[in-house]
Amino acid sequence: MGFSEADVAAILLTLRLATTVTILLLFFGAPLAWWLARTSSRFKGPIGALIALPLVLPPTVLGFYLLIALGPNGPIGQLTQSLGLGTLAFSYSGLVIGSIFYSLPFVVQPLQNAFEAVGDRPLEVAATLGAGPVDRFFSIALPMAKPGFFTAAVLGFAHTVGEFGVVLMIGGNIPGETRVVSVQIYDHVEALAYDQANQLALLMIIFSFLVLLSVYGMQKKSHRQVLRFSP
Amino acid sequence: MNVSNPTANQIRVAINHELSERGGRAFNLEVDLDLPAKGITAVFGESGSGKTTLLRCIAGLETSSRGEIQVRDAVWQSETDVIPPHQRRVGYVFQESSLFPHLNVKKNIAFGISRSPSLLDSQRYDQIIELMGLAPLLQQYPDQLSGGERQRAAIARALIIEPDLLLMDEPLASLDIKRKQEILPYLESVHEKLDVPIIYVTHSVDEVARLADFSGSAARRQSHRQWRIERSFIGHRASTTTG
Repeated sequence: MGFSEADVAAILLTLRLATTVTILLLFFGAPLAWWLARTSSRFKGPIGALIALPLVLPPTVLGFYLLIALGPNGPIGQLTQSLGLGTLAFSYSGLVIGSIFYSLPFVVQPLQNAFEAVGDRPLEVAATLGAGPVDRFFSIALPMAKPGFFTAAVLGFAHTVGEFGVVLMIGGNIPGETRVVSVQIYDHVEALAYDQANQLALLMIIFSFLVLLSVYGMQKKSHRQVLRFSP
Repeated sequence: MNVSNPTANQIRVAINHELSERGGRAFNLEVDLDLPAKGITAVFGESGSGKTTLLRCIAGLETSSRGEIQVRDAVWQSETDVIPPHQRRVGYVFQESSLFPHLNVKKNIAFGISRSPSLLDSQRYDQIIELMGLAPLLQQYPDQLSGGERQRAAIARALIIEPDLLLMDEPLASLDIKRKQEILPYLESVHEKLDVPIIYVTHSVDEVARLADFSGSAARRQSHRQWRIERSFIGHRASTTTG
């Protein structure tokens, strides 16, 4: 028994969502992580805590407020309406926005750790060799933090694949638009189609296992590199 | 602060920097120095007397220092204007190996070249590679080198950009005696063959004796809770007085 057409659509949608969100998160998360790693501002604590909130909040809480914000009377909803985009709740774009908030800590924290591990010294050396701040970021910090980018991408991707509560709250259950794998499994169970639920659920377990395996493998490798690079 | 006009052969450092020590006590590093802009000037003094901070202030790595720094004709810092470190023509060799781990020796050395305002003199490049004995090591990565080799590469990387001033912060302190003996001749030949003024921070009387043309000591004054680097740089060939 193979996957049904609806299952395949859910898998493809999930992969598309996770890819989009991961790319956006790496793009926006890197400067944020860089700032968190380097700043001594008094806002570091509060901003860091805000970013980490999705780690502890029930996804329904996050989803609820996003739904209000994206809805026709919310600030983001009114902005998108005035721009002629309609509202983003119960749309793929809304799902992307929700997932970005939801998976933000899984990307920012590994990046922040990687940037912190670079330390001041290589950046100071680069400064005395004529590299300005932007140059130092691209030529020293980014390449030295590469293992952190891998971990961040994999964790952000996997976490987006695994989300459920936020999707239900702001995405609903629209086939091909917002019905991701986790929601599809939920639907199968509700319809008592346990065989189909089992197939998808098993796929998720295998996927998640392989993801974690690759992250741990990478961490071990980069740890060895750190040891090798120490004087 | 009374700042005289330095001649083309002088380095003028007149700075005030608040240091916070572990335990929260704040001290002031007050420096008022005219240094010769030639040869090797050794700075020695007890731990915590502010030697490293002095170098970091000169390089512009300590952002809160105030005062004036002038190296020959270039004003690096004045009361109104502070040139950021990447715009100072300064070389800095740190105590521990500080090669970029993701670049091989050749690319480490080339890092400053592409960012230097002046064109690379290929003769100078060859000369420095030869002086520091790096030709066989260019393709190696830092983790494949010994401590002494890494430090030689770091010195070459700092020299290649033709700095107006080279700062060396106990460059041999992290090496064992054998490696020190291995690297000292390289430093002597840099001294003999390249016209770069060097400020050299060290604990070692032996290094002062072998390398320094001028020396000065950093002393600590508890009165007024200030640390001072004494204005005691007297031109003398250290090797003739101690060796």
